Amino acid sequence: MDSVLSIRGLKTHFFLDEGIVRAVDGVDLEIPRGKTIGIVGESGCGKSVTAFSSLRLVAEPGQIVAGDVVLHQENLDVVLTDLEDEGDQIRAIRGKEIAMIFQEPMTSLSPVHTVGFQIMEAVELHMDLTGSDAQAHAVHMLDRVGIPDPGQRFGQYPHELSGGMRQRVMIAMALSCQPSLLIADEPTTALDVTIQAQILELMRDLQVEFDMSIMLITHDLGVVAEVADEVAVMYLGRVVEQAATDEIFEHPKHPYTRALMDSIPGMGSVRKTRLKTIKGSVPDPFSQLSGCPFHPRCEEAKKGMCDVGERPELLVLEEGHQVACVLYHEEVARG
Amino acid sequence: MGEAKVKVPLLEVHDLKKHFPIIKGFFNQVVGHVKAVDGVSFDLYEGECLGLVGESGSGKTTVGRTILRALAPTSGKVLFQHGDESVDVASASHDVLKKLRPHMQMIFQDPYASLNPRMTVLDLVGEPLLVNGVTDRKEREKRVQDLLVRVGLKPHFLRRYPHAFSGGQRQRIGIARALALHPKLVVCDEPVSALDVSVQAQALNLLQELQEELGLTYLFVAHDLSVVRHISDRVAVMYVGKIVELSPVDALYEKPMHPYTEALLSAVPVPDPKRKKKRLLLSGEVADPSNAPSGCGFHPRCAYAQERCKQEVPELREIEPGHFSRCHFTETLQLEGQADL
Ligand SMILES: Nc1ncnc2c1ncn2[C@@H]1O[C@H](COP(=O)(O)OP(=O)(O)O)[C@@H](O)[C@H]1O
Ligand SMILES: Nc1ncnc2c1ncn2[C@@H]1O[C@H](COP(=O)(O)OP(=O)(O)O)[C@@H](O)[C@H]1O
Ligand SMILES: [Mg+2]
Ligand SMILES: [Mg+2]
Repeated sequence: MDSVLSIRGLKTHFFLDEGIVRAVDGVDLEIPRGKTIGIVGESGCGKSVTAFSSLRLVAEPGQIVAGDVVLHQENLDVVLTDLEDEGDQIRAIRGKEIAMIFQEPMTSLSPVHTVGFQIMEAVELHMDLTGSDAQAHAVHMLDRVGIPDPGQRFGQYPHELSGGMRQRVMIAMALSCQPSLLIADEPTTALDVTIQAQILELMRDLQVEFDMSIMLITHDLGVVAEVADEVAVMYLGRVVEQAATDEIFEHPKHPYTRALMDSIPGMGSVRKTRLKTIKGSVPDPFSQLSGCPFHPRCEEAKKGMCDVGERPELLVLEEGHQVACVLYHEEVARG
Repeated sequence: MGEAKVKVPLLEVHDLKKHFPIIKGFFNQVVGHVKAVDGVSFDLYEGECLGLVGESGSGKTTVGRTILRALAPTSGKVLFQHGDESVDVASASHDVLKKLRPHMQMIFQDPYASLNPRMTVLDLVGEPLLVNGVTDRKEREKRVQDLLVRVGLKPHFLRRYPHAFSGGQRQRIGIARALALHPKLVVCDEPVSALDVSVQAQALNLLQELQEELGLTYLFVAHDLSVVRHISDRVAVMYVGKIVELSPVDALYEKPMHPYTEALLSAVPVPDPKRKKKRLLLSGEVADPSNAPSGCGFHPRCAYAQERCKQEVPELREIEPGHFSRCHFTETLQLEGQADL
């Protein structure tokens, strides 16, 4: 696979007084070039921390304790995890090569500067444009993301805009320097479905136009089904299954993936029947379970097999389909 | 609902309005009104679940809160069937309200924000009991324990504080609290929106079980159309303070009659990659309820709008038995639903 970013054995832990939170605990992930990969899983499974770690944005008491994140540029591989903390190199990559947008744009937009000023700032920092050229480019980006009256909006403050418009501004800012990878962390979760549909469509168009890879973090399997080419499912700090979107929806292998899919109220499911549920909830992050960490909630767990030993490895079950579940390990061994 | 049973309205809402004044300037002048709810009428039958959907800002929460008189309505009637009497909640005195309150409860979206972090589960769930005269501590403990068990929590959680619970557990505490006084009507405002799918499924199942067991009537406010389809008998769609469509659930999803409903349904992402459907992209954003468009409030975003829609406010009309639509052209439109999902 041609990847734009490779995450290998990544571990990011938070060292708290109460104990160690193993937020990301051995993530292996290839982000395919020019495509969209959806990262799904229940809250707390480490999706955001994986994203922040990739950009080297982990702050105390958090620390990347193991693993590599490698950015594949045209003729050059850059090991992001080896770069100096907050040094010139990582700062040049952030925003220019890899950009990120969040669920709540207000967390990354400054309330005291106009949206135009903020886009211009990014443009001047990363592109060879200054003054009126940078301004023209900023207005062009606002226009490109579908903001009406971009010239006038340029001078407005974030709080003067609706949630949907703010998310468009975030996208304009993120894409103003034509990054090769966009990390979008729940970009539409706070929006209405109608506005979500607009934003997803916009992202899809811009992806083609800018030839960009997208890492889309979401808990919504519907969103993933519509926009992702590839899907990775996370549980308790690791990827437990990864495959092409059609494949994973048609043949989900990991019991966790299957259970997640079954618990969605299907638009066509017979009403008034009970939904299938996953028993219990995601265990607290301090706990360290032996064997497969999903085994206490798993309907197919086998005693003496799933609850002992190490965490199951992510193994290739078929070409392009990886699963971390002991129940398949024999199958893999047989080949 | 049983076929043969005669449907009795537990609640009749007539032309309900809630306008919030917009106050500006040094002299606190009223410079306009946010018409959050602007003429809403519907019946709620005993034992049914009526879903209420629409984009944010369309007035769903305000409808729920005004019905319970958590907000004073600007005008309109809210007739609640209390024994043999029909009482207008909208104009009831404080004494009458106090008697009605136990019968009408609310479950909120955010289990984090709606529970006082300094109260134990015993106090949180026991509070409505105490307020309503269950003063004996032992008796209260017993009833709270029963309620906890009923909503799937362990009775020994009694002395814990909300922060010790997960989101799903907190929502169960909220449900136990709402059910403490055996209400008839429960307004659920986005009760599962903050939960992960697997936990959401548990909470939805619990709400359904409780409804059947206790004969509860739900007004179920949510923006997730799949959740609403799953739990509702009938669904009302709101847009800028008005109901634009009201119908039995299957008819609404399969054969929508209002262009806004069609657009909403079309925007829902479907968890099946093989269904790359063509999407009716709804342009623009929700209209401002302090400055609603002339004529039909939806006309600036409507793909089918004509001259008449800009001038004439459409009425909510019964097009087929039990299926209402607020659109001049309902009869001539062929709208797409989500029939064969
Ligand atoms: N700054 C932090 N300090 C302590 N724990 C954290 C911090 N950030 C995240 N975590 C923990 O790491 C785990 C993974 O979090 P996150 O990546 O945000 O999950 P997701 O995005 O999948 O919902 C959670 O248990 C969370 O509580
Ligand atoms: N207390 C209030 N004062 C002024 N405006 C309000 C108040 N509560 C709600 N609104 C306005 O009323 C409209 C409807 O809000 P709401 O009922 O919360 O909608 P929904 O629940 O459908 O998202 C919105 O425009 C909102 O800003
Ligand atoms: Mg997150
Ligand atoms: Mg609301």
